[in-house]
Amino acid sequence: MNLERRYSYLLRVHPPGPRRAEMLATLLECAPPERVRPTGREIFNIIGYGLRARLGRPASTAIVVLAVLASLAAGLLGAAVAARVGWHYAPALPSGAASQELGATVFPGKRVWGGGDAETFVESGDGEQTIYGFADYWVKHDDTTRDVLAYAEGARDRLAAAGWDVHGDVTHESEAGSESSIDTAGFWATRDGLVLTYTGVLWGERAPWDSDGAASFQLTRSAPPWLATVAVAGGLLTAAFGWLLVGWASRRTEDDPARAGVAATAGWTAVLLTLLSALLGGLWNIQADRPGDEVLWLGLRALTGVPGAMILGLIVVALAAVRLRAALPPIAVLTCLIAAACWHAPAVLASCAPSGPPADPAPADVAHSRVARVYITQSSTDEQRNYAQAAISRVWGTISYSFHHDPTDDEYRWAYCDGGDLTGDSGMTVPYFWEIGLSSPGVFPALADEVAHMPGVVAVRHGEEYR
Amino acid sequence: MREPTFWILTALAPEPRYGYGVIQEVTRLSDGRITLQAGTLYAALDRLAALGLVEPDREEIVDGRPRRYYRLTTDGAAALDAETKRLRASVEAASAQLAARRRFGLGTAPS
Repeated sequence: MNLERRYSYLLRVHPPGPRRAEMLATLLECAPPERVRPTGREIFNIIGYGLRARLGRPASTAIVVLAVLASLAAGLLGAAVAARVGWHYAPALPSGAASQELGATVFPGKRVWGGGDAETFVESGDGEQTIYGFADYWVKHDDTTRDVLAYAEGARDRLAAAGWDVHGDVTHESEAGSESSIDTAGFWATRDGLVLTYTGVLWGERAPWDSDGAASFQLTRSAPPWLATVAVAGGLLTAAFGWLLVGWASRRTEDDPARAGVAATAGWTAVLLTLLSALLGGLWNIQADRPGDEVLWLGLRALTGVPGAMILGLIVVALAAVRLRAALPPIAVLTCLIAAACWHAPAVLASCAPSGPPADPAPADVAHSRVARVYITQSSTDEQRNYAQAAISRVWGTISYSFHHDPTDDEYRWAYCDGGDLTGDSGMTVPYFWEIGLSSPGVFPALADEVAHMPGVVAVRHGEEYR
Repeated sequence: MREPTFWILTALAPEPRYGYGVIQEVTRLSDGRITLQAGTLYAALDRLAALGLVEPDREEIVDGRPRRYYRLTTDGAAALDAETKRLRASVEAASAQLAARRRFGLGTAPS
């Protein structure tokens, strides 16, 4: 390639037009005869001012500020989408032998409950935050674990010996409340893409049928190392696209202040909304005893929900103001996204006439489900139901439960007919049930073990999450 | 006014010039201190044209390559004049301060 070809190639950074030929002539005249390739300074200069020239409005500083921020925002959106897709391929949490080995490291010689896989992200208990999906592991208290501080320190030492990186000291709080004392100890540790948060809790002065706490830990994933590469690649690609898009809109509306005004207003709003959503999404989720990079991934994830759809809507307005036809592709994307989020398969809602508790679901259907139901015969006594309910709440991983005995309750449709109606008076004869929220999917076997043999209980089923 | 802008206006003051002509003239006028890069030159010309300080003059084809000439507008001449006065005032202020330094016997700046 000769010098002229190399310059021509570089000059493609500039927008198409006669300026390219004009600059090529100037560059060739400036070049000493022995020069065969552009100097570093020339390359930097041509690319830098070429990118600026793409924005049009040569006397405006505001367009440069908008383009820089729009690129940043577009980069964040691209990284967010890439990360969302990437998380889909994050490794599962340990199961089987690996899960048992971990349980035995923390709680040697004890019956360990919980474990298993979980979704990558879940809503927090209060529904206000998105958190990393986790698997709960725990042991019921015995004399050794009731000394929560000593047992936590032992668990920390065993994990450290197994190659875990323990962060900070064991924290210990002892609270002698007016009715019930609480003793907690905890720490967190990381290894091989896993984050382990240990908590030992002892509640004092509990009724004999209540749980007095547990020694437990929650296991979450860290972002796999390749995910950062995927996110950065996605981000750089869309950042460049964002710059070109601002340039195209700016140059196209240079002689049309009305269109430029609408496009700029929508564009600025989209940019600010993006930056704000990512920032708040991250800040809202800052937790002291968690790895710092989680804030970044949660911030990016915040962009792919409702704010993402709003931002896309604003981009549609901005593009439509510049050129109606250009708004069609993002409108198509937006329509598909909304349709995918709102569409329900109607066939699922077929009605049925149950005669007893539903069959066990296929394990694959409930692998990530945090819903369970305990069915109890209608002929059970109040006392039997009280015992069963106490057993449900004794399980460490149950976070909520509600009892249903009225067949017109909406919950009946999901408990018996996959969301469909119960036909005739079939609902009048089937067992009552509790609908139970589990902290993590692997809690289910512990619930079944605790409740299945209680008098009156006819079935314990892992339910599918509502659609 | 940034230095490249000042020198471009200065180079265009007496007559219209094309890109390479401006670069050569700026190098000559600044005693070789300023070597404009092509990207810098054309970005500045675009900005000055948008501000109405320079405008295209004519276009020639030499050896099959386009040469577009630019000239200073009346506004451009006024802007250069105002900048020159500002620089002169600055130079005079600094000169007076240095003269005072000599009077106090604090020595002169090496020249």
